[in-house]
Amino acid sequence: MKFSLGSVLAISLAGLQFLAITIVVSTTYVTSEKAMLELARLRLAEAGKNASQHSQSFLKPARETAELVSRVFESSVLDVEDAAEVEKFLFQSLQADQHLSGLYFGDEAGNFIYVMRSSGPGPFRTKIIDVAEDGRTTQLIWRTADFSVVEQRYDPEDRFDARQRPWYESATKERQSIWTAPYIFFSSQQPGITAATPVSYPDGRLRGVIGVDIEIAAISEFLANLGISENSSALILNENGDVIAYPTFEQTAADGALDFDSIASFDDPVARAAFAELAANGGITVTRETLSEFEYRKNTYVSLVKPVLGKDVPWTIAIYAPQNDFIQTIKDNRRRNVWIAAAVSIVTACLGLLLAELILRPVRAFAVRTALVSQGEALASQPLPGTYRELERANKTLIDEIAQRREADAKILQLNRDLSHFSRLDLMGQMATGLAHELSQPLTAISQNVDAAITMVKEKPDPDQELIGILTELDEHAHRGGDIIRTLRGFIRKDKGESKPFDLNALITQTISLLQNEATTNDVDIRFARRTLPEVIGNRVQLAQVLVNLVRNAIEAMADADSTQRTVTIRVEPKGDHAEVSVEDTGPGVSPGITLFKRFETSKTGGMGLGLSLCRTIVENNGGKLWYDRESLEVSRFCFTIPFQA
Amino acid sequence: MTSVTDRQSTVFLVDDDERIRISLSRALGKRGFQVSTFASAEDFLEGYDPDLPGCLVLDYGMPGLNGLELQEHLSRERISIPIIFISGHGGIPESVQAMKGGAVDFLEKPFRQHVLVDCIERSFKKDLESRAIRENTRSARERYDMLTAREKEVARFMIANPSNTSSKEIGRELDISPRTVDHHRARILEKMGIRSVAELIDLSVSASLPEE
Repeated sequence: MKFSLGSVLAISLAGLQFLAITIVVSTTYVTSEKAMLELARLRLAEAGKNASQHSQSFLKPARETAELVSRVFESSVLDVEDAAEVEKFLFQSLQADQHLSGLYFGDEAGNFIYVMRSSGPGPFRTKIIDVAEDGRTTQLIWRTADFSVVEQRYDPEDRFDARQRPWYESATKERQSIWTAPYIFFSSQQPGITAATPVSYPDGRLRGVIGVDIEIAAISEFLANLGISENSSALILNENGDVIAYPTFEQTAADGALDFDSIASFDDPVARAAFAELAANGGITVTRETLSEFEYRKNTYVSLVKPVLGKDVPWTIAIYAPQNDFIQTIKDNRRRNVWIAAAVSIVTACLGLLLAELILRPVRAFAVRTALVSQGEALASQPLPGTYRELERANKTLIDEIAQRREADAKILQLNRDLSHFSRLDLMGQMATGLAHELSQPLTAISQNVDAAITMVKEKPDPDQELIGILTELDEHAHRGGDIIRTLRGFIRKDKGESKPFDLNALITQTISLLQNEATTNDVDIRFARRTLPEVIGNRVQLAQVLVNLVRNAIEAMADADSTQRTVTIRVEPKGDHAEVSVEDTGPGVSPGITLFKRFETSKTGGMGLGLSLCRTIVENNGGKLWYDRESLEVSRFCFTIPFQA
Repeated sequence: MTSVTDRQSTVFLVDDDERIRISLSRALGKRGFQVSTFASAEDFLEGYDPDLPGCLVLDYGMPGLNGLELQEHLSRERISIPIIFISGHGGIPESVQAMKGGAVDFLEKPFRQHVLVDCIERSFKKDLESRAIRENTRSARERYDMLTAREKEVARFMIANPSNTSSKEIGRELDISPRTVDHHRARILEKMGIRSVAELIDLSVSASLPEE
């Protein structure tokens, strides 16, 4: 398949452009994607660290407050027996940190003082349980921020016993500050955690336990504001695999459930997919920061798990973020770049076409002109439209070639014309000559016989004069016949043509061109063994006729036979002052019983038997000889000579 | 029929056409000529005896050797027989070449019998003359060969110096006495069958006697 130069140029230009852009885009893509993934990991690690620190710092005030209150109670600064003073101190302490939701002190006797934030009727509420020997009283006091009472009442139904609470039990058991597990505060319905510190008498006996409640919903808030990436999420899990903090915690808690969701049933499927396995064995034991990748629904995510506080608070921070958050821009960029590349390629292709058109215009003009010239509708000598050097050279070669071809064609055509004219004339001449010769023989015999008769009559003693008259008249008639023949012969012989020097090789080449069709039709190959020769002298057209006759005879000889090798070979050779031309064929040879060169004798149907005798006459008239080479056995060879120009 | 010709001479007719051979030989025979026919140049070369006087009536166009070629062949073989060409072609170039080769005439068929007879008469005469000359030369050479070496020397001197033929001068030149010269001269004239030194010089030209 051949493409046009124009489309090749356009496609090549556009293709190269596209290739270049694609290579640049994809390499930058690969490197920048790597950088961005690295960034993602860094961001995740950073976020983990932040969350850890923040959680720690968030929990710290609760513990500090509990321990501070404990130290105050153990010192003699405050009379712990005075419930009003204790309440006031706890109230002040609660106000010092807004994350604290409640402070309380329970003693071994079952007394309990609890200050907490409240939703109404006052912003704060105090619960005082006083256990005496005659029974217990539970008093509830609501206060404003400036400690003035808003409402006060007793709750006779209250059965709360601090000593049975987990925080109390843990702290007394451990005899040091402890953290409870996170839970949902009963009063606020918010998740929280309690720091508890035991209070001792100076002699070391346990006096009671200070508890500080701190809501950890703020941790979720903090997690929500971490801002790692658009679709990232951070959770805090406790050692049981419960999700205790996550960005949308409040909404879930509002459902009224007082339990945390387990990670296994957590309603964020991505988080579930990422972290559920951590709690597969009933508890989470993450001891060091671990960064990993996972697939969820054909998206790749990066994740980080990290312990928060170690043994005291065995929480785990779990963060995940989809990779796309980090590389989406690059992906978008890449997509955009591909489109740009395509657009640029199309533009380049158009430019290429335009350019090709510009480049090709002279070429096309040249092609059109060449076609016109070859059809003969334009002259090769007409000036070439503005074009390239290469084309100009090609054009020159072409023009020369055309000129040569034309000249050669014209020569062959002329030769053909001359030949047909000549062969008509010469056939007539040959027929006349042949007839003249054939008729002159009997006329001569008549004349001779008449002469003999006259002689005989005259020898008689009484010659018959009338008979002599008749015989003389008869002789005259014979001579009149002879005169007529001579006149006819003279008339035809006037057209003899003239002898001129010419190139024998060129004549043979042209003759072969004339007969090429005939040869091809008969499946015959004409070969010419050319030799450099001086010019020969003779009548060119007549000798062409000889060549045509001999070659045509050769072709016809093989056309009729079943020769496998069908070749006519023409050779020229200098022989002294003559050029010898031989025409040989691989045909069956001369039929026996045929006298070659004899007029009116032929083996061809439709032939007149004049060809060879005509050829011989022509060659002899031109100072040469023509013969059949009887010595060549394998081929039939006719030879003739033409003198070289003196 | 009158016969003006030497009846010893023969007309040698070469023509490939049998009708021509028959009619022509009969007509010439009736006119008193002795005719010998041949169907081709090759037959002629085989059967011809150059010692027989006569002339050759030769057809120009024949297969094998044609008339011109036979003429060339005879000329190469130094056989001089007068040739009359007869031709059915009547080409001018052929006739010119034939005449150049020494042909008596070139007749186009059919020809007038008196023209042919005339040619034959002339040819016979020419042939007899050239035969006589050849004979003359031959006998002069024979006689010359009969001279002794000294006589040949004297004869050659006389031929070479036709103006100095006195016995005295010859004797001085050849370093012999005038008397001896006279003796030799008498012997030369006797042997050569001539009467004078002038005749000897004539003979030397016509019979081309060797000069050495």
